[in-house]
Amino acid sequence: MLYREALNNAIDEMMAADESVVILGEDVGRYGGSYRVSEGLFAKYGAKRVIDTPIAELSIVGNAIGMAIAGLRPIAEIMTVNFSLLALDQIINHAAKFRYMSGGKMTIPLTIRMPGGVSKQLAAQHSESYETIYTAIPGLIVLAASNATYAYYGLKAAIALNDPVIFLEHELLYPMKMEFKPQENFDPFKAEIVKEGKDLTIITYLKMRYDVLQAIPTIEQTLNITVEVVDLNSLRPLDMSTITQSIQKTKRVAIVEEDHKTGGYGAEVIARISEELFYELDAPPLRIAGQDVPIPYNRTLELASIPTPKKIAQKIIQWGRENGL
Amino acid sequence: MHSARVEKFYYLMKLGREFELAAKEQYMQGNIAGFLHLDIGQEACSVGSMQAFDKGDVFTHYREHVLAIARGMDPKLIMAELFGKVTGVSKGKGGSMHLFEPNLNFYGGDAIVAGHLPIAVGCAYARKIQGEKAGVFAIFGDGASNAGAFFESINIAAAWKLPLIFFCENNYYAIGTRIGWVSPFEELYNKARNFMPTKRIDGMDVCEVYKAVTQAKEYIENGLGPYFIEAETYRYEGHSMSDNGKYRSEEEIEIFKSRDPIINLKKRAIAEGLVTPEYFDEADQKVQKVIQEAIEFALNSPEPPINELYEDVYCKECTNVIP
Amino acid sequence: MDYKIVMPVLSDTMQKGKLIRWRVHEGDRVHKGDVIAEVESDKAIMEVQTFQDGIVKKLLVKEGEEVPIQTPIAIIETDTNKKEALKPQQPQTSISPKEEPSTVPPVIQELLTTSPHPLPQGEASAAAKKRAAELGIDIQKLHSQKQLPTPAHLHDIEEIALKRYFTPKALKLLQDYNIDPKTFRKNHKITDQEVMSYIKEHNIPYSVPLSANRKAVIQTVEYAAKKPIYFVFETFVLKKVPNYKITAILLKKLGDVMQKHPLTRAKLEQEYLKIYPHSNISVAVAKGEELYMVVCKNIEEKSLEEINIWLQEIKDKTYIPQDLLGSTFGISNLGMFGIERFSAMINKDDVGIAAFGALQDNTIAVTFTFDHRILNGLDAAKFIQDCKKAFQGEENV
Ligand SMILES: Cc1ncc(C[n+]2csc(CCOP(=O)(O)OP(=O)(O)O)c2C)c(N)n1
Ligand SMILES: [Mg+2]
Repeated sequence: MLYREALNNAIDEMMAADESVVILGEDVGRYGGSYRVSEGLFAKYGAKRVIDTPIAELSIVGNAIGMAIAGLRPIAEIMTVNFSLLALDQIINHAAKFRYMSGGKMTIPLTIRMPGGVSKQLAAQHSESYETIYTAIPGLIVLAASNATYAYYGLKAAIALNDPVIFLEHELLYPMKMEFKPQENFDPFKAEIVKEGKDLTIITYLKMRYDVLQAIPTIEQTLNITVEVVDLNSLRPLDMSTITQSIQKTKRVAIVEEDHKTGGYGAEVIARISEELFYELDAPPLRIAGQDVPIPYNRTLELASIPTPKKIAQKIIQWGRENGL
Repeated sequence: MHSARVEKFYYLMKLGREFELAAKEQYMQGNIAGFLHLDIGQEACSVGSMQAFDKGDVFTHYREHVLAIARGMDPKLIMAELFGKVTGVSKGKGGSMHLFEPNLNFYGGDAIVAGHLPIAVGCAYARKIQGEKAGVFAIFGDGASNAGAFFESINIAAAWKLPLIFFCENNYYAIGTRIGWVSPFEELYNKARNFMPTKRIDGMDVCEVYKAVTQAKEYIENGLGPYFIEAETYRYEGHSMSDNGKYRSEEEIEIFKSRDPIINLKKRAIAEGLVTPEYFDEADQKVQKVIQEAIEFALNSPEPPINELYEDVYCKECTNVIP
Repeated sequence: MDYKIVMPVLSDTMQKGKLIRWRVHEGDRVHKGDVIAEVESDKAIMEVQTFQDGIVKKLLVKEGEEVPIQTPIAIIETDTNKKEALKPQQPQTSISPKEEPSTVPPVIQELLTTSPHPLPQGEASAAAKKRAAELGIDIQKLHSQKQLPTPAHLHDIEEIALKRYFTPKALKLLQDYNIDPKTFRKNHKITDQEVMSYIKEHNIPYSVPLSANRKAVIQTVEYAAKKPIYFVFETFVLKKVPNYKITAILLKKLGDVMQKHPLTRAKLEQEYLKIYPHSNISVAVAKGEELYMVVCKNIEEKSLEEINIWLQEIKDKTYIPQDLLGSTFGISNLGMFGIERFSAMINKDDVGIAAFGALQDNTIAVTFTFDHRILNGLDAAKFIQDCKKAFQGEENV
């Protein structure tokens, strides 16, 4: 199943099951979505529930909040996270805070979908990952779908949740063919153990999952170890219990993220681990992240600005050798 | 119109068209990547406006190759930028959407829709208090005219009587969204009518664009405040390389193609005896040569060295103190 | 001039494109800007144009076919007029796919040589400190006694702890028998005797990991056991020749006879019997604990002298795969250990094997094992007859 098809199925099924579910955003209707995620929905559910909006991100989210207050369950699509900055006020000052400010009287069942990350040569204004912003906001739930299975079940869960959810996707994943694994008792807040191992835990999410998996054979062969890979799925809340179990076993942890290193989401994860699992660690935690530069257009520079399988392997091997692996 | 001016219009529009076609070909061959937005069909807007507005500051969006050429940017440097080479105007770090040249008062190349409009307003404010006569020119699409930033900008520019030309290229589509689906009317000058003088023009006619911008320029230079031009135009291609543009009918595309700015200018100029037919052949040949040189230059230019990754994040002085 | 139209790159994420429809035929005249095909990218169905005038010379891809981006899909024979001169020279690199860094990272050589950074004295990881505290181990003291590496990691502390509770010999036993140290809870240092009596009490086996060679042998004999084989028992006359190994004589005689019996030089491969020109015989050679089937090649061209030298040399050689490949027949000589008669397993794809017992009164017992698929009873009988003659005759020796 294609990743984007998994998302499409999730939205389609939720819209079919519940009349109050609507989707709005730029080019989501007649055009079918700029990444084809909402393809076919306009024909099926009509203009009332599949809403083409003008280029007005603040209004897309603001309108969706109003719809949610009135009893709809809106899915707002922001074309990419880069443009969600225009909607930050609505997301942070309004969506995230209404429940709390109203003493629990207000409920905003809202899903805001947006893809991000470094695609291919889209340059500085189209290549950011802003999970670091959204995960810092109390009142928001932040989910990150790296695969078709989570895209499907996670998005359905997000739509069903009664709080605002930032649902992060990655531009390079949409056309990828992925295995779909049917789930029972799906928990959107549970991290996935992608691969078991006993000497090192690598935490990752979104597209970096695939880069990490490509680096694993080299790491395992060179250091003669086995590596456990944890895909977070949910960034806020963070599944500390899965992380704890893994680190208690492996005693070492590295996080691989695409976003800039300084103030990145990985910094938060490592801070939590340092606070809660300090005496489990047999080596200083390692962060592998994007460089602290805007993303350049040139392909070579672009690849130099983010982790790649080769760099991940190099850094982990070097760190492993320096720390008793 | 002076025949020399018409010749210039023709040459620049043809150069723009051929540049875009060459860019398209190079994209398909893998030498250019990312988002590539072609200006094919809209050359009259870029060329007519820049020929008239030849002094002040220019702020533009991402569909800007022809505007940059008309502003005087060397096609070689643009093509090299598209190729991601270090010889490009933005050292290969910006790409197609981010052409900048302060020496030409050409300030991007902004790919956040309508994001450049408040910036243009601020620049116009500065020019006003600096006592600069030449004001500011901001070009944007129909889609951008729906953004909050647009409405804030026309309000502020009008409130403070700023020397700013709002030039809206109404090509009727923002990617696959028809303006009429998301705006109460398709004649967009209505949005600015109560704030400033407005004019709706045929954006497929370079002379009309030239005249309108000249008039607007005089108006803002006289300190009377901002001016709004809506140019009706059309992009023949999809929004960017990955879009087939097939949400538009064949008929619609044909109607606009029959108004092609380059073909029509040529016909008219010959009919009115302004330019000799030989000129066009010469111009076409020159264009081919310039384009060929641009591609060769881009192909043969070096990639940026890897340390360029860390350059230009901050100014030189700051780079020394920020690790 | 040929102008190649490639599967266009139509989006930043596109890897492959599908040719939906050709809009031109071979031989059609096309003009710059004409649509020649429709292709499907990951995002939409798009038109492909030609950027040159000319004649469609060849359509390289069928409708419905999916090809990687930048693969040529059509060739246009361009018009040879002034335009051609203007066409920019395109170096080959412009159409060949850009080199992306390979996705599967190679083993990183430079890292294999980097040494760990020395850290300040007295350091240990958090987990190591925690464990040391649990065990009452003084890291700093051990550091000053150079008993702990710097920084100390968890396993270093565990090792110290074990040394404290077990004698070195006892530790070795724990390791050899793969016993968890936690099994022993005593308030004195545990000796090897204690561990050994535990081992005996619980009948714990000593596990020897299989060597690569043994694994290979297991594979070979398991394979051989599945073949349809039969045995032939014989006794040959053989005189020992001074200064020559018996194995050398056996090899030479068998090798020569094999020349007259093509099927003994055959291998069964799918639908064919492949008959090789040379007499190549695998011979069992023991090296320490391991057993190898080393192949003596081109025996018919070698003198007895040469074979004798070869046998001498291979005893000390480290084998490369070629040394162990290429035989069609085998011999095993347990006679040198005084064994009277035995039978042997066929080596790999050999036709058969001759197992020679000990030489007694100028006679030697031999048991042939044959693969019936290659050599039937009649063929075998003829072959053995000739062998018998050769062994009786004096001429070769
Ligand atoms: C704030 C923001 N939202 C969305 C986008 C994605 N996007 C890029 S171009 C575009 C359409 C713009 O249409 P228009 O203003 O009419 O200009 P045109 O492309 O027609 O020249 C959109 C939605 C963006 N770049 N910035
Ligand atoms: Mg438009």
